[in-house]
This record gives sequence, C-alpha cells and structure tokens, in this order.
Amino acid sequence: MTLPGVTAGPPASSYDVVIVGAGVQGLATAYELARRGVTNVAVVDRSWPGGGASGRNGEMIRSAFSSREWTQLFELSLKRFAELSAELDFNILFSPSGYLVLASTEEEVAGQDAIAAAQAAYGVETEVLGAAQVRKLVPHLNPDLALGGILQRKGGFAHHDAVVWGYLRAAARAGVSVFSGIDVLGVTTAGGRVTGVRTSAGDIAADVVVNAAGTTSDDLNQTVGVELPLIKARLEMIVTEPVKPFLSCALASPHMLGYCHQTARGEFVGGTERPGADETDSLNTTYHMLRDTATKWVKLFPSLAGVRILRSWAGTVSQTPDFAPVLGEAPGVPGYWLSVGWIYGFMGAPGAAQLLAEAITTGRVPDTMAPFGAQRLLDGRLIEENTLVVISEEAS
Amino acid sequence: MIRQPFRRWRERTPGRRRSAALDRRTLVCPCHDATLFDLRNSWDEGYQHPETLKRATAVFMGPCQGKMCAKLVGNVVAELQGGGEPEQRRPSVRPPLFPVRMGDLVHEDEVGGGAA
Repeated sequence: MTLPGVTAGPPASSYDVVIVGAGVQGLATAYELARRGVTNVAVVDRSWPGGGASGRNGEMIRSAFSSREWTQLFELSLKRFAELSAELDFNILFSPSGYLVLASTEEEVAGQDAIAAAQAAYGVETEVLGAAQVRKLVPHLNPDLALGGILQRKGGFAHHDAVVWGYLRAAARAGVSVFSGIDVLGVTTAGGRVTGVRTSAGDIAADVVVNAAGTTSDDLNQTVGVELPLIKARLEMIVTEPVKPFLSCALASPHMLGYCHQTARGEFVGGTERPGADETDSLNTTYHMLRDTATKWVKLFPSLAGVRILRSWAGTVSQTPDFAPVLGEAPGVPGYWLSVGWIYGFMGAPGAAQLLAEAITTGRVPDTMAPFGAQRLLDGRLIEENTLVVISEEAS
Repeated sequence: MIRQPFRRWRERTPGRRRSAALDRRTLVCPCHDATLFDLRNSWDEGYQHPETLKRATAVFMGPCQGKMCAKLVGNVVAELQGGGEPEQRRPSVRPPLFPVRMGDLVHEDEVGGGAA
C-alpha cells in the first residue's frame, strides 16, 4: 500500500468507469461520481496517488481571473475548497488568507480597474489596492515593485497532499477502487466506442474512460487517435527554511512571472517562470531556474536574501495553446472523457471534477464547462485570459 | 553512526513491551518533532512508501534535509516491514546538497521575464 485508501490486490476485469491518473483531477472526479451513485469506478495510476503535478504545484487558490470562462470555473472550485474539509472528513488545511495579484508597473496599475470591474460583473468580490495598502498588507515587499494590486480576500491556499489524500479516502469509503503502480498502456475501442483500457496488469473493460493522466495525457490520447495541441512543460519551485510569519496571503507577480506563499510551518514556497514553455517531461531541477527564482524573490522581498533554500523540485504539466484545460468528451470517441491540459489544475480540480461527473452521469454538459471543450482547440477558438502568471513565447 | 544508539536501545529492551507513551517521546526527526509514534501510526494508516511516509510525517523535510533522520527512518521502516536489513530506499534527494542563502544565488543577467 502506498496511501490510505489505495486498494490492495489486482483490479477486476471490468468497471463502469476507469479513470487514468490518481492525481487530484482523477481522484476528485472519482469522488464526485461516487456522490452521484456511480461507485463501480477504478482509478489507475502508474505511481503513488498525487505523485505528479498534484503534489508539486504552488497550492494557491483564487477565482479572480479576468475572463468569464476562467472566473466561473474557478469560483465553483473556490466554493468547494471552503467546504471540503468538513465534507471529506479530512483537514485539507485550506487557508482563506487572501490572494494578491501584485501590480509592479504603471501599466499594470492602469489596467487594474477594468479587471476588477469584470470580476465584479462575474460575481467575484475583489479589492483594488493602492501602493500604500499593498505595503500595509505585505510590509516586506520591495516598495519599488509594490505599486498596487488586486486582492481577493476569499482566496488563499490549501495543502495539496491533504487535498489528494482527502479525496482518496472519501472516494475509497464510497466504494471506488484506487490502484497504484499500474501502467495504463492504451485505450481500447470497438466500432469507434470506448471499451476499456490495456494495462500492465491486464485489460480492464469499461464503457467510460477518463483521461486525467497529467503530463502523459497526450500519450494516452495518441493511443485512440485523439490529436490535440498539447505540449509537456516543466515548472520548478523552491522551499526555504522556516522563518517567522511575514507573508499572510498568497501572492502572484505577473511582472516577475512568480507566485508564492508562506506555509503554516513558516517555509516560504515559491516558483518563477521564464517566457515560453520548458518542453520536457524531466523532473530534474536546473541551476539556471534556481538562480532565476532566487534573484526574483530577493528582488521582491529583499529580506529573503539571508534565508536559505532547502529544496528545489520540478513538476510537469500538459499545456494547451490558451493555457486553459480541456474538459469534456473527446471529439469522435464516445465514452472517452478528457480532463487534461491543466496548468492551474490543483486550483481548478474541485470545480472541474464536479462538472465532469455531472456531464458523465447526466449526458448534459454544464454551461460552466462548455467553453472548455476540446473542439475549441481544433477550431482555433482560444479562450482569452489576461491574469495568468505565464507568458507564451510569441507574446514575450 | 546515528544508527548505533538506536540499535543499542533496541537490544537493551528485548521482550519489553513498547509503549505508545515511550514512542511519543522518541524523536526521529528533530527538525519537525516527528516521533517514532508518528512513523508507526502513519505506517499503520497506510503510508507505506518512502515518498508518502515523508509527506505524512515531514521527515526528510526539515532544515537538515534528512541528514539527521534518514538512517533512523530506514531502521524503523525495516522493522515495520518485518525485520531484515535497514530500508535502503529513501525519497528523492533534492538539490541543493546543503541549504544555500538566496542572496548567494542572485544573478541579474540570467533572469527571465519582466524582472529587469
């Protein structure tokens, strides 16, 4: 056994639903299916549950984006995060201590009112802060880079492992089987319809297969001829030794391409990015990213210069051209469902899982989920979202 | 040599019943105060993989980077698995090898993004 809730022994020969990938997407979807009465479900993972990007992310949570599509999906998630500890009977350590998107240039400051107005129109409460208010909220910020910000007080962060474990335990209690250490080699079809999966532990029959395989989701798509523009990209993060509390909220800096928070134990956890995607599935960290990260955080928080980095790690994601996930049934393969292309996957999982389970059980695609269908990528209708901490190669 | 005191303690107490109270006072990870009780308890719950046991108890994750607790954890895991040689597997070792001050890594020329 690798985690509480993982099933001992081999999988059965058939299930109603097989979910590929026991990350936060797969486990949350399994749990939401079980809540709707579909309990003959298997979740299959090549390693231990939560071992991929679900346990390697920045664990920050907000719904304050600039587009209607992103805002509505993540608002659903944020509401779920607030309920999950009680519902799953497992403390996910959700800290609604605020999520600040920092403005560090005059241009960013000038754009804040329009973004906040859009957020208000979509039902998300945010506050536009001036320089003095930002410095009061986060006194350790370099004043030259703290010119303003948009604060979502209901946002914050949760412990990513605890979220995975909570969903895993609750899904297992409801009757879901979760298998660890089994490779899914491909999806099987007959007459164009899904019939199950081939695995390293034998074939498993299922009328519904969900691809929640994270970085390797494109490899699985290839086995059924589903061609989507997905790339594999690596992101890196660092954690420092514990220091006394100095940062109460989660903080993202689009200017620095960075995001960070301080854990309850006192560790400062942060990641930075460079323009363009680091296209690899390697989980090794790099010296140049360690320096990039250190340089940016010391610039933003000068007092961190004397704080020691304990560890750095990498995580990998599958990424779409508009950085938005793909949710829904794959075009042309009935019974094959996708929850792929996530780069804000931890944040979006509780909401997306609920929508996906609803769509699978009722056959009706919820309005909030509809814009994220795969067809948009094939038609070139990209979702425009302006508050992401990421820059594509072309835009930089 | 960290292993020796622990082994001697075990040899000195053959047949004596191990108590939860004693396990609770036996520190395995001095950085995060993780005790023998925490390790046993997490193992019994089902965290039986070096990577998941680390995440459940915070061993290996303190300022010592696992240098204080690694051998002890290996011994405890070997015992929990039913005796035999100390557990050789351990969680991924992450860089840097020693804790490094952030200020020492600052390097203006190599920074990507709009940080200039």
